[in-house]
Amino acid sequence: METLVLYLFKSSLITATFWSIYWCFLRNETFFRFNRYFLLAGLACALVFPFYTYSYRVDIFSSGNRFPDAPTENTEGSSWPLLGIFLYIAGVCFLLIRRLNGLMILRRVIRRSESVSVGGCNLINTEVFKSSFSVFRYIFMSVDPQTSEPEQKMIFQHELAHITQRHWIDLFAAQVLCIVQWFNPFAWLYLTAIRQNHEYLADDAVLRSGSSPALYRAALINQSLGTPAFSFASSFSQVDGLKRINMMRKPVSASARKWTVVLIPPALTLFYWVFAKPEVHLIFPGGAEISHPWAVVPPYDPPPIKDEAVPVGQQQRKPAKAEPSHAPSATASLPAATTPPKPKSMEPFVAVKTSPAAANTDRPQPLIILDGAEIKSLNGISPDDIKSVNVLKGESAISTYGDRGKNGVITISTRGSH
Amino acid sequence: MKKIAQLTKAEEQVMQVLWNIGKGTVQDIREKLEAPKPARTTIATVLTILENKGFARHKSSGRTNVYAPIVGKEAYSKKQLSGLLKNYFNNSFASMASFFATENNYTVEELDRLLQETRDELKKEKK
Repeated sequence: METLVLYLFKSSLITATFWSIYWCFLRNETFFRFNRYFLLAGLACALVFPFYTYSYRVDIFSSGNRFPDAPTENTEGSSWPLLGIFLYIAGVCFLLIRRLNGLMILRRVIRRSESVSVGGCNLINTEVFKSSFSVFRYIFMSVDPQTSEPEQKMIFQHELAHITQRHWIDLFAAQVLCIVQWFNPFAWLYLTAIRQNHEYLADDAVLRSGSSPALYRAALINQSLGTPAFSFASSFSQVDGLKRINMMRKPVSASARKWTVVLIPPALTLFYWVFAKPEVHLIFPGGAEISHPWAVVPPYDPPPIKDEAVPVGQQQRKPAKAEPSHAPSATASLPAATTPPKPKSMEPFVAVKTSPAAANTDRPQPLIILDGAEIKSLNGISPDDIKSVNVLKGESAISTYGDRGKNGVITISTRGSH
Repeated sequence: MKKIAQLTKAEEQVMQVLWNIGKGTVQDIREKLEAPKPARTTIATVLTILENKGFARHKSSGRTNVYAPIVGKEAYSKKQLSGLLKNYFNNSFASMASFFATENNYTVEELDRLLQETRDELKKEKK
C-alpha cells in the first residue's frame, strides 16, 4: 500500500514537472512535432520511472559491543490510508468504466454505419455525434447541408492528418495517465496540452497542403459556432480558435528554443536524489557484515564475545504476519544464519523481530518464557544452550498465558541445567 | 447527441440582455451591451446560434427582426447543472477522439474581434 502511494506521488511529480516545462517554455513554439515527442516522453517517464529507486550504500562501523540504535520510524496506525486507497480505486474504476462505455458507443456506430474508404482511412457520415472527429482510422463527419464543399474538404484533410500522424496513440497513453493520476490536476492539464498540440499539427498539415489560411480560419470559426458566420465557399470549425489562429500566423520558432528541454535531466536527477533509499550495512570488527540490520529489533546487548563461534544447532522461524488489531506476530530469528561468513570473535545472538504493526503501541515486547519462568530479555542466552523455541500468538497465547501474552509468547527450553 | 442547454459566454451575455429587455432588435441589444460594443453582425451571429439552440426566436417586423427569449432565466439556471452532467456522460465517447472543432467559450468581445480579423484576412487574400 505504501508503495502504491509512493508510486502515485512520484508519478504525479514527474507529470507536473514535464507539464510545467511545456507550459513555460514550449507551448507557444511552432516546433509541434518536437513538442509532441516531448509530451510523449513525459508520459512514459511518469508511468515508468517511479518503479526505479536509486539506492546508495551506507556503511556503519560498529565496535561490536553495542548494537546501534535503529532509526525511529513514525508509523501511525489509522484507517485513513485505507480510506484513501479505497477512494482512489473507486475513481480508477469509474473512469475505466466510462472510457470503455465510450468505446462501445463508437463501436456500435461504426457497425451500423456505412463507411467509405478514402486515403487510408474510413469515412463515416453520421448525425449521431454533433461534431466531426476522428478515432483510430475512422473519420466521423457530421456536416449539415449548410457546410460547403471546400469546407468539408478542409475538415477531412484536418482529420486525415490526425489519423496519418496516429494521434490516437498519444491520447490513449494520456488517458491511461489520467486514469492512474485522476486526482492530479496536472494529468488533466497534460491531456489538454497534448490535444492542443495535436490541433496545431493538423492545422499545419492542412496549410502545408496548400489551403488558404484565411479560408481555413473562417471555416474553423463556422464549425465551432455551428452556424455559417462566414458564408463563403468554404467554412471551417475551430478548436480554441484564438490560439489556433494565432499559431497559424506565427513566424517559425527558432530551433534553439528546443534546448530548454535540457532542464529535464537535472530535474529528474534531483527527483531521484530526493527519493533515494539508503541501504545500510552494519560492519562489525573482523569484517562481518549485516545488511538491513534493523530488521532485528533492539534494544539488546550482545553477550560478551567468546573465542569460539559455535554453529547454531537449532532454529525455528515463523513468518511474520500482520494481524488486524491485536497481537503482533513474533519471530525468533537468528541473524547468524543469514550472514556468512561468521568470524570467530562474533557470537551468534538471538534477536526478536516483530511485525511493523507492533510499532503502534509502545514497542510491545513479546512475553519470553525460559524453562517455564518468565524472563525480561534474551540477554545472556546463547543459542547453543537452547534446545527448542516455540512461538505462540493470538488466541492461543492469551488463553495459555493470559493478558501478558497479548503481544505473543516465546517459550524457550534449554539443554543443560540453568 | 445534441448538447443540452450549454451556452458560451457570448451567448449568455446576449441572453442576459434579452431577459432584461424582454425582446428587441439587434440594435436594441447592442445598446445594452457594454463598451467596446461588438459589431451588429457579431450580435446577429450570436442570436442565430441562440435560435439554433432553441433559446430564442425572432419575428420579422418590417425589415428588421425582433428577438425574444424562449427559455426563461430560472429555467436556464436549472437546466445548466443537469445539462452539465448529461454532457459529461454523453461525451464519454470522446476520450480518444480528435475533434475538428469544439465549442469555444468566447465572450462577445473576443468573438467580435475574431470575426473582424478573419474578415480582414479574407479581404486581403481576395486581393
